[in-house]
Amino acid sequence: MFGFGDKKSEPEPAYSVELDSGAHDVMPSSPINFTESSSASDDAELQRHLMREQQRAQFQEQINKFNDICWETCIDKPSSRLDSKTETCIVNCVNRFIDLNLLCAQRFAQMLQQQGGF
Amino acid sequence: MDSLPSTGRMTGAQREELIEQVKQQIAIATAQELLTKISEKCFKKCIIKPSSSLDSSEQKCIAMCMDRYMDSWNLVSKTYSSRLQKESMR
Repeated sequence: MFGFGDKKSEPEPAYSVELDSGAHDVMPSSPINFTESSSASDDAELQRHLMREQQRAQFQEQINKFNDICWETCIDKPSSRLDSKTETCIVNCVNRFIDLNLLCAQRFAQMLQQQGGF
Repeated sequence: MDSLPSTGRMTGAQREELIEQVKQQIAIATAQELLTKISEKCFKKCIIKPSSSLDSSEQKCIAMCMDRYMDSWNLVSKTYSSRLQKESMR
């Protein structure tokens, strides 16, 4: 389930950790098409692939952070399933955290402007 | 991103292997991090007073806690994805 182990035995998951369908797949894997002899376009292709993997890793890192915070905020005692109240709490938690982040970034930018930068 | 060391002498197969290795290493790092988090969170929720062994109610709690943590992870992933999509359309 973590996307490693047995190679090519099953279709590759969209993320390394992906338990449900790929409905929220924003960064699907693209097929790799390298020609046998290397060329400049192959180098660009390789860079593109590696950058994509880096983005995917950053995305997962961000989810880990959100989940850490929202788990503490929304889960009291783990039960047999996530009830709708908890689900709403998690969705709101993620969105409000992003709002807060944007707001703080904005205010920070204003502060820097007023002080004329660092 | 800094430019990568020259890959001029790599064959197509070597390039594919490199990407495969990067993918695997990221997957392993993600799994390890998730496992660490789950242990930390579920210890906090389920082991109120550590005794001489994990009793059955603690084991049950741990199993549920882990499943819920993964549910939550997936929901957060979905929520974050759709927020990113919404923000990029603004």
